[in-house]
Amino acid sequence: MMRAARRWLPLALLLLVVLAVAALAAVSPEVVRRRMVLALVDLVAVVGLYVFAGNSGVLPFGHAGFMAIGAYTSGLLTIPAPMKAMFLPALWPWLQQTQWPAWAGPPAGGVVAALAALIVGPPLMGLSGISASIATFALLVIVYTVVGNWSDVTGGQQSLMGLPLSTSLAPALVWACVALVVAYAYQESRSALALRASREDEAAARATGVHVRRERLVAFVLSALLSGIAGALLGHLAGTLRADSFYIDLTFLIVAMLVIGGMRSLTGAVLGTLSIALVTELLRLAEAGVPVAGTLLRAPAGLGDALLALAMLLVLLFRPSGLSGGRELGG
Amino acid sequence: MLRVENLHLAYGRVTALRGVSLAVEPGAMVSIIGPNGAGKTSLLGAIAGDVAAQSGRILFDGAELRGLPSDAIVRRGIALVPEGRHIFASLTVRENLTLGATIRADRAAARADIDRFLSIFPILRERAGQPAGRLSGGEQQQLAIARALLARPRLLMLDEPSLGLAPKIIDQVYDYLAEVRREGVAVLVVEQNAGRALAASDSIHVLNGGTVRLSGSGAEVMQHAGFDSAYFGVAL
Repeated sequence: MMRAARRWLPLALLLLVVLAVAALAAVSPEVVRRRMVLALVDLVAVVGLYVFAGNSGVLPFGHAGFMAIGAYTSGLLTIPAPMKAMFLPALWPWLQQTQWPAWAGPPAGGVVAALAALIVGPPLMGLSGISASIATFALLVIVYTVVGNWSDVTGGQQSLMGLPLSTSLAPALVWACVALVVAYAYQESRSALALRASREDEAAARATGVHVRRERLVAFVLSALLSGIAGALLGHLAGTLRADSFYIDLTFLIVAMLVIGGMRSLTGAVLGTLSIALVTELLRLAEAGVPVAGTLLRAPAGLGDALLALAMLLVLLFRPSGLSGGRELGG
Repeated sequence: MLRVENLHLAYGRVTALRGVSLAVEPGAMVSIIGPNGAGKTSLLGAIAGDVAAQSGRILFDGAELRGLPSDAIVRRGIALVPEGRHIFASLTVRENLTLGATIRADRAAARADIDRFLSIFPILRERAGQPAGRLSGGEQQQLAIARALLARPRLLMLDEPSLGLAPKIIDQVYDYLAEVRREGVAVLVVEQNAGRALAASDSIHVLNGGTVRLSGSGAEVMQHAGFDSAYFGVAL
């Protein structure tokens, strides 16, 4: 009994942290609340990345692609039919007429992203190290190119508008909690243990009977599922979709959040996301200008990105295990 | 049980094995001795599916193993304790043991076996919750053997099990291997520590230059006039 309680303590503490963030958001002004909702959506994306990167040791650069797949899937299923007829006149009629409730968009986006991972994953999962990272980046480029040029379905380089603005605090909180529970339950499974063994020593893991490629695929698909949900939530937060929104900048942000927090623990994913979200918000305010003695002092534009890159560099140099040190909260 | 027939293995232009043949019967202990670069690790690697032999046969209970991946070979009943132990350093001792039972479907029995090994090796019980990387060399060797045995193999292969260990620990390892044999598990050991292997084994193969130079019981091999020449490549 005690052992089971101790085993699930880190998850309980992380859920409490997320609940505290949501409680703070609930009593904050609208602008701040919106940024905190965005942080919870980012958390779903970073936890999704962690499920694969943290357990396999392979850092993928293609998860923004799965977010794009989730976002466009959700958008195409939930945008009101008359708007689709206006913005996407060449869309297949059956899809043009489809109009699902907004709440159904994120799970649908997650499932389609997971299916995409299941299709492209098998050949990629045989790769390790930098080869695997570059292969996943190539995947991102393919998704970006398709989304940016498939005008009949995605609107191409134009913004796809009309997504219901359904990502408020409550759904963002629910999905953040779901992501944490899924990721933690997975990391406690035998499958994740086998994958972590392959992260340590691939040859030795095979020698104990671990089917490395299969275990990686399980994590990759689960990871894409959460990423697809995060992409859909992001779309329903902004109300519009652009191919550019799911490319290099987003990839850099979620990778930086995970690396800075520490990619070998779920606590690292949470810590990295929330700390970067806080710092980003402070820098955004600084870039907008802070009145000091009657003068508006502004931080230089782009300072946020530069500092994020610097923070990642410093962590990699001086604390490779990230802010969490690879440990779980209460573990 | 295991029959290796005329096995040839090369890494590019470098030949590691040239027509090696040997057999291991159930419950037997067979040792492969030889100097560095003799091809000993390559032989175990080929049997375990880590490296691909170019020709020859590796038969286990009559079925060909060549071409199978290593995880499939573990499922057939062959476990390898690799040179340097290769324990999972950041995972706990208990997690390492759990991984040893990866291929087993009988979860409850596997858990009972893990507890049994923790009783056999008390130091592992004491450190069950600690990262395995903190164990000493001898403790890591115990963990590596226990992990391999948790797959319930019928053939246990060990690559240099005495490497880097104190004589007292080596004795403990070989004492435990004798117990393993009594349970019907065959043991195939690769050793540079020829003396220990000669004393413990039913049969010995001296490997040098990728070829079996001499075979027989420990006494036969030691007393053979060609032993020095077979082992060192030159007559002393």
